[in-house]
Amino acid sequence: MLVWLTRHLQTLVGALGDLSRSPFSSILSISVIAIALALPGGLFAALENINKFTSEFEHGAKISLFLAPQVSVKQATELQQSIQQHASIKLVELITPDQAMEEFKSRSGLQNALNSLTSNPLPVVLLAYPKDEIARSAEKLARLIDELGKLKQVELSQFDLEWIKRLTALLELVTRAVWIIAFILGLGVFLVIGNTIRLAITNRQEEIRIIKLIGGTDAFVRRSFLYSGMLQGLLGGLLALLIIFLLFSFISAPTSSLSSMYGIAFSLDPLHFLPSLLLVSSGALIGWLSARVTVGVYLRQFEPGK
Amino acid sequence: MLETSLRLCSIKKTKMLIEFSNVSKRYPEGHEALRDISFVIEKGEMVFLAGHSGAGKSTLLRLVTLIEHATRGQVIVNGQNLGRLKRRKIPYFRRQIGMVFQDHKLLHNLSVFDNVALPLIVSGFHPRDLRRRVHAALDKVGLLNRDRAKPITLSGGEQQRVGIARAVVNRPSLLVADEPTGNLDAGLSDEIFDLFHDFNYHGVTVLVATHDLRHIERLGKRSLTLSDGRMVLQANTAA
Ligand SMILES: Nc1ncnc2c1ncn2[C@@H]1O[C@H](COP(=O)(O)OP(=O)(O)O)[C@@H](O)[C@H]1O
Ligand SMILES: [Mg+2]
Repeated sequence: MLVWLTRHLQTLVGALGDLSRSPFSSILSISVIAIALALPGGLFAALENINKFTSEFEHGAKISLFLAPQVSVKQATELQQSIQQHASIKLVELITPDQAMEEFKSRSGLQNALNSLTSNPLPVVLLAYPKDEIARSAEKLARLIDELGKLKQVELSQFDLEWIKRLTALLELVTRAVWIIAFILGLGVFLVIGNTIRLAITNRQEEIRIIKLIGGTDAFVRRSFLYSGMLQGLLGGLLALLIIFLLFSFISAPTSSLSSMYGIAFSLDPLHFLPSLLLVSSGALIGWLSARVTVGVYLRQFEPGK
Repeated sequence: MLETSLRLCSIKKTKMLIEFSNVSKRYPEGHEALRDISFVIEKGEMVFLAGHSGAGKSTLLRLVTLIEHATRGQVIVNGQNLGRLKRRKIPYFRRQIGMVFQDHKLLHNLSVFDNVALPLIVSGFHPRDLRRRVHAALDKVGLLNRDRAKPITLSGGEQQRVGIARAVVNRPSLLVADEPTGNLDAGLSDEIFDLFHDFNYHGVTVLVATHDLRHIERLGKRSLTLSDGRMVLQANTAA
């Protein structure tokens, strides 16, 4: 175990040494990798922030349930309590016909006309506030509205923030587009690292040949290249994080002051810990995979001639 | 009677280290470098491979060390039929052989010590015993005090002795050398060949290619002579 560990440590240090031996080209390729990783990483962070921004509205998202006219306030209170138990519901408010009438009168300016009514034609209304994770998903929200609308006491269920639904759907589309960009750029990183590994193999051809002559296995030869590929991806990922962080802090102050002008307390979040970790480790993983494939292809030239 | 001859036969078989049977080698470019070669080298032998430049000596050694595959015929080394050896088994096969090259093939970014340690490192040798083994090998070639030097700072003869230390550090049963003294003057050549002779004395089978007949006569060992890819002479010049 210790032998195994020290050997891997030695290879890692050796790979670091290889990178530092040609600092210019290493910095160049790591920068290219960083930019390719920073773009999708930054877009994902931006999407996160837009989601956060719209969820400020979603906190107020409510479903209005207009109950059937024959449902009494007492029955409505029971219904309120049972809907309150629903897993997707945060809170249910009850508005009696009297309260509704009062509000209607004060708002509509039809006070006199309404005063002449002998009975109150308004139904009981329940305002159901869905939980945030429901409000964030157009699909789940639609299902909830539908479900509540099917209750026999409910005559009509209505969701007010139609535009949020549209925005959420749009964001889903954009998220997919960003995934495609991420995939393409990830492929770019794969090729960039593959190319540096190919160059390294060419530069170290004689060394590889000698190692194979004295009984080094493919795995032994591969190891230092795998570390080198992984290290480039890792360093590229870290640099990408730095770029995203700098960009965000650059636009963070104007964003806050802009949103405060609209009376919204909104501040930009840079990438959180988990997405950051994901970014760096996918850089490392792409580097490792790329080195694995490249070495696999180029080690064939060292096989015995037929 | 039959039984004893069978036993003799099997003893003889285990004593065989290298066996070529009707071996030919044609390079992809079409040049036939070896034609219909057959010979046997037994364990503990020291054999010279002689012949003019271009006769096929290096090619023959490349077949023994599986740097190249034979085009026709059968090569058996250490009981293994090299034509049937699986690709991933090749490194383990090579660890049984020490190789010495005319151009030393040292790694110039590594110290003398690390160069000699390399065969042990690639075979996963325990680091605890590594230092002792490397020093023993360097001591044998008289370079114990140069272990920290870079190969480039050594003379040609010293570099070749580092190559020899590297070849024997794994204690191989077979030592193969391709014109190891090609670039050295007579005095240094003698030292190198005396080293090989000494390893052979201690039980290592040695196969050396050289076009310098002087050593063959001086050490009085068996020699195989190639000419244009054919075996023209198997002579025993034992004094
Ligand atoms: N890799 C190769 N590809 C094609 N031809 C080769 C190769 N190596 C050697 N040869 C040819 O094979 C013949 C034998 O070469 P070689 O085995 O190197 O002879 P020697 O070591 O006795 O000088 C020569 O004619 C040489 O040109
Ligand atoms: Mg030769």
